[in-house]
Amino acid sequence: MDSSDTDTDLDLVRRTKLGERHTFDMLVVRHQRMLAQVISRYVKSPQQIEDVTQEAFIKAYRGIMSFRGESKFSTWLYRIGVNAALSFLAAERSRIPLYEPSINPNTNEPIIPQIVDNESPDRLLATQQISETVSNVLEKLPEELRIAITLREIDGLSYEEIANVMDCPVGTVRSRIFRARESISKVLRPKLEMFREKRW
Amino acid sequence: MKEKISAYIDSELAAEEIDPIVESLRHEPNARDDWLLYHLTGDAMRGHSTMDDGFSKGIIERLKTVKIDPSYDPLDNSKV
Repeated sequence: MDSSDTDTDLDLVRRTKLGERHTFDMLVVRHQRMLAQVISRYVKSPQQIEDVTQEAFIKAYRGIMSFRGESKFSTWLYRIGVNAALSFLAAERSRIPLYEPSINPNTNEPIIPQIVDNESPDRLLATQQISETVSNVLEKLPEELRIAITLREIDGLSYEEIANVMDCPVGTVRSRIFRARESISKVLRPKLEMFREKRW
Repeated sequence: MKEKISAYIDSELAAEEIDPIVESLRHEPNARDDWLLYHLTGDAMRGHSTMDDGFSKGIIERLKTVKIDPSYDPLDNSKV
């Protein structure tokens, strides 16, 4: 990365603190899936995951002035998400009577309820369709585009590190990653429109 | 413009190039779709569950009613 480049999360937080509220919306789009993934480890129903994720973002926005950049923004948000999930579980525990399992009359053993999958059928379908689309397009991409975007998205390397690995200029890395994203987006865009129409 | 959005996502855009990108993301729906789709691609590659973009719209709508509170720390459990 060039020394004049700016961390995007920190830039968006700085703008939010200055009153540019829409820049926090960009942080929501940027981090909602990571945050929901974290929360889904504690909270199981899709509706509850959405509610707690929403609550965590509200808390983060309300308290944005307390974020001083001592950790990464994603780490700060992660901690808010875990706290929100734990608070939710504590509130649920105080509201719901203690669980008493039913007894199977034949075996005289407690009946253990099945764990409910935290993915709704619609979301599972969307997740599956989108991940299949992304993998299909990735497979067909020219090797240099596939390697560049994989090193970025999976391995988290900077453009300069990718340039070293691929033995090419940083500008070429930037272009390859963009071309890979654009190839995938062209195929994903109609699916996004379809999901919007369905309003699932 | 699209290539700059992609670089901004990766924190690889020069500081002086950022303002016009943030402005386009504020005003242009196509730029916002690019922002969403490029993030969705990365999240799908990492195996994260896909969230409805109506969901983020719901959060964004609710945020319009929330004010920043300079005395509030979401990690201070003594203040809820």
